[in-house]
Amino acid sequence: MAPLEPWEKVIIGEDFFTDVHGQTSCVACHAGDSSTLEKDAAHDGMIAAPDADPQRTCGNCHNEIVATSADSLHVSQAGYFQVLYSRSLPENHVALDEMFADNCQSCHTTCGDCHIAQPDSVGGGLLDGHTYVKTPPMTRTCTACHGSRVGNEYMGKNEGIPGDVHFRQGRMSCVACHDAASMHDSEGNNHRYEGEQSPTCESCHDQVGKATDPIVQHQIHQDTLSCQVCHSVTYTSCDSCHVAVSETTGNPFFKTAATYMTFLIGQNPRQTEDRPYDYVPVRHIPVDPDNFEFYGENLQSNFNLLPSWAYATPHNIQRITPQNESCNACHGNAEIFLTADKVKPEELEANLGVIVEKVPALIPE
Amino acid sequence: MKKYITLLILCVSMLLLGACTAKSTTTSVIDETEVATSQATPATIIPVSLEPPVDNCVVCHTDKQMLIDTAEVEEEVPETESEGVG
Repeated sequence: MAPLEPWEKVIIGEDFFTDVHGQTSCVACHAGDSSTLEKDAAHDGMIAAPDADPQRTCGNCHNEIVATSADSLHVSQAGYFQVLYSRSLPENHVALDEMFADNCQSCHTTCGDCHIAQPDSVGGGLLDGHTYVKTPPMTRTCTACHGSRVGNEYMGKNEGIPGDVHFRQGRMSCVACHDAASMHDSEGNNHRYEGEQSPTCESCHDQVGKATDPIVQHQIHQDTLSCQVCHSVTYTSCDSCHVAVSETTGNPFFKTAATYMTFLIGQNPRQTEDRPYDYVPVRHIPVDPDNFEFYGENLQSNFNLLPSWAYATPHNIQRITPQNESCNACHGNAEIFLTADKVKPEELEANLGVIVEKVPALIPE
Repeated sequence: MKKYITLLILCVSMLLLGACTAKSTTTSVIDETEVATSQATPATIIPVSLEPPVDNCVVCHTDKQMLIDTAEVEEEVPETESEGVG
């Protein structure tokens, strides 16, 4: 979507005044001075984004949602801290916190970033004349942030790679699977791959793996392979995102060494009762030991504690994929497994738990 | 004697009537005061409630031309030094 003109970003539509949220005065949420038409005076003390203090605003009516969403991953960004701190030592956390504030914190999400305005990453601006949008529009909110990987995969924007069948044929938006409850409450989990899977494919495909399932491969592989092993296609991997603050502008910036397409099956680095699979697709994430050298030396001294090929759930699901066309499209096919020769020598140790040492044997025809 | 008794009844009746009249007069004075008081209060409120304060935030933010006229010229954003996919 083209960037909004400055006036488009802030014009209030007529519908807002019939909305329950339009029944209070502007200053009740935004402060400022409504008695003057002089712009600077009117905006003096104004709070552009009142939802930065959601208990004072949204929480007056939506108290339960505000209370749980404070700990949701969209708000807390706890998933980032889990991996940053895991690769580091406590004495380096201050420097990492500074790095995070400069370069990552802008991805923090408020109530309004989904329900009132576009996120700043796409220039901001009211979604619908300040009317509260109950279901966030996918491309103006969800994939405005989750665009470079999830959005491109889901909508088929990677050249030659089809979009997700749920989008192409089902016209499903993100919230069809990622419902409001899961957005507003992370239920105490500090990473998106912690705790019970949500969403699950089986929520809709409830016959998969059961005795009545006509696809025998589902029964054979159901606890061995995640659904994406057979049903996702080539997806994005990245290398080495280095962050810093510009000496000339004072603005933070990043440099990513490489972005490329992969499809590789690895051992499950997050094997739990909730994710019991032996094999999952793995994506190279943009980490290296020197990602944050601008903020200090050796800030990731425990770099090898977590893999750089990470558990992945590509969002480009297909019914038929190259690897599920036949048994031996996968069995005996070392090309689609993350074997040691595909891992950078300096990252071998970090990925010992992910690298597939022995590719499943060919099945005799 | 009969005339005396009749005169006495007449006097007592007048006395009672007089007393009743006095009481009703007092009551009516109170009522008038109450009415006057109860009418005075709304008389000071009505003009205020008929003219709610103008919310100039809405005046401006529903007027496209006014927003265009008052928009600040956006500062030229310096070219980002970022490279690669974020």
